[in-house]
Amino acid sequence: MNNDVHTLTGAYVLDALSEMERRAFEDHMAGCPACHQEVAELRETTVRLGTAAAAVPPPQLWHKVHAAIGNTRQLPPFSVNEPARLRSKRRASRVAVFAAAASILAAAGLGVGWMVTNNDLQDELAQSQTELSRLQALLSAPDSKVVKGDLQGGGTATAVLSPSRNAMVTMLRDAPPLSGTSVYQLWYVRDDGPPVPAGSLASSNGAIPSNDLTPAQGATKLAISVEPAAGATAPGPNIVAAISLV
Amino acid sequence: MRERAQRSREPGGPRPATLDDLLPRVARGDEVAFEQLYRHLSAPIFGLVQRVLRDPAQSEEVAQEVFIELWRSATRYSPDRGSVQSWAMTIAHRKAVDRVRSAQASSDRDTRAARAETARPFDEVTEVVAGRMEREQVRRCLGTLTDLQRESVMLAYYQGYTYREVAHLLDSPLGTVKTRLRDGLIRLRDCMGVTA
Repeated sequence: MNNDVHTLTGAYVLDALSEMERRAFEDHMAGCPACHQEVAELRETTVRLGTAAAAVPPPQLWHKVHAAIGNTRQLPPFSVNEPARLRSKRRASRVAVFAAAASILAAAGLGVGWMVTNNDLQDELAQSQTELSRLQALLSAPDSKVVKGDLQGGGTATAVLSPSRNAMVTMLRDAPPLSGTSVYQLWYVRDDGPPVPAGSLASSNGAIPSNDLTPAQGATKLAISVEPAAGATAPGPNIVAAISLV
Repeated sequence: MRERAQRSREPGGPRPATLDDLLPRVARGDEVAFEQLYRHLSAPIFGLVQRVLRDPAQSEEVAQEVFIELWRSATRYSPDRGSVQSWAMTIAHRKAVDRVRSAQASSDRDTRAARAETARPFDEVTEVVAGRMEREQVRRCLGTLTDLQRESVMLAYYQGYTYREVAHLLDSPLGTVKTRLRDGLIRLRDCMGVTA
C-alpha cells in the first residue's frame, strides 16, 4: 500500500481533492480493500456532519423537483458501462501510472502527460486530411491521451484528447450501419452528474471533433449511444460503448 | 434518528417506509416512493448544500439538481457502496462543492456576491427538530479533535475547500493537512461509533 496515497482517504471523502487526484485515488482504491473499508467508514462519518446541518427547504423546492422528475428519464442500470469491470481490467498498470501522475500533478499543478506513439493511430484512424491535422495537433500536445474501446456490434471508437489544447477528437471505425436519421451520439459520463452530450456522427466511419473540453470536466468515461436523431440531451437505452477516461 | 429527520411539512401524508425500502421502488420509477424519499432527505440535503453555498437561491438550485440526480441514478445505487443516506449526501456534497469550484473557475465570484446580496432573505431556515441529536453528537465529537484537526475538517467539508486551500488558509504544509483531515475523521468516526 502506498502510504502517501493512502492518507488521502480523509481528503477524498471530504471532496477536498482536485479532479485528477480524486481519480488517482479512486484508481488506487480499486486495488486496496483496506482503503475501501476506511473510505466507507469515513464517508458515513461525513454523512453525520452533513446531517447535522439539516435545514427545512422552502416549500417550492418539492414542486420544482416533482415537476422536473416528470421530465427526466432514469438511467438504465449498469450494463456495458459497468465501471467496476472496466476498472479491474487495467487496474495494475494504472495504479502505478496514476501514483506517478498524482505526484507530478502535485508538483506542477498540471495535467498528466501521456507519451503516445502515433503512427499506428494515424494510419488506423485518420480518414481525411482535416482529421489528420487535427489529430496531429492533438497528438503533439505534451498532455495528449488516447483511449479506445470496442463498439457493441462491431467497430471501434478511439478518442484523442488534450486538456492543454482543450480539444478532443473521437473517431469511429467500422461501426454498425445506422438506419434513417439515427446517429452515434457521444457523451461525457460523470460519476456525479448526468451525462453531457459531446457531439454526434451520422455514419459508421468518421470523427466527432470537440473543440471545448469544459463540458467534459469531471468526466470519467466516454459513452456512445445510438439515438434516433441528433440533438439528444440524455442517452437512450441503446448504449454501444463505454470507454474509461481514467 | 433518520425516522424523525423527515418531518418537513410538505409533501404531507403517512411515512411508512425506510430509505432502504424506498430506493428499489424509486429505481423502478415509482414517483410515490420518490416523494417519500424526498421527505426523508430534503432537510439533510438542503441543509448541507446551504451550509456550503450559503446563498439561498443557489442552494435551492443545487438541491434541486441533487434530487433530480437521485431520481436518475437510483437505478445504479448499490448497497455495497454504502447506505442510501450516505450515497445521497455524497452526491449532495459533491454537487455543492462542484458549484463552488466552477464558480471560482469562471471567476464568477463578484456576480455571486451580488446575487447573494439581492437574494430575498431566507426566512425559513428552520432548524429541523430531528437534526438536534445529530448536531449535539457532532458538536461533542468535534470537541474531541485537536483545534487543527477540527479546523481542517470543517474548512474542507462545510466550506468546500480543497486540502490545498485548507493548507494555504491554515498556513500549514500539505502533508500535515492531509494527515489532519484523515486523523480528524478517524477520531470523529470512533467518537460517533460509525460502522460501515
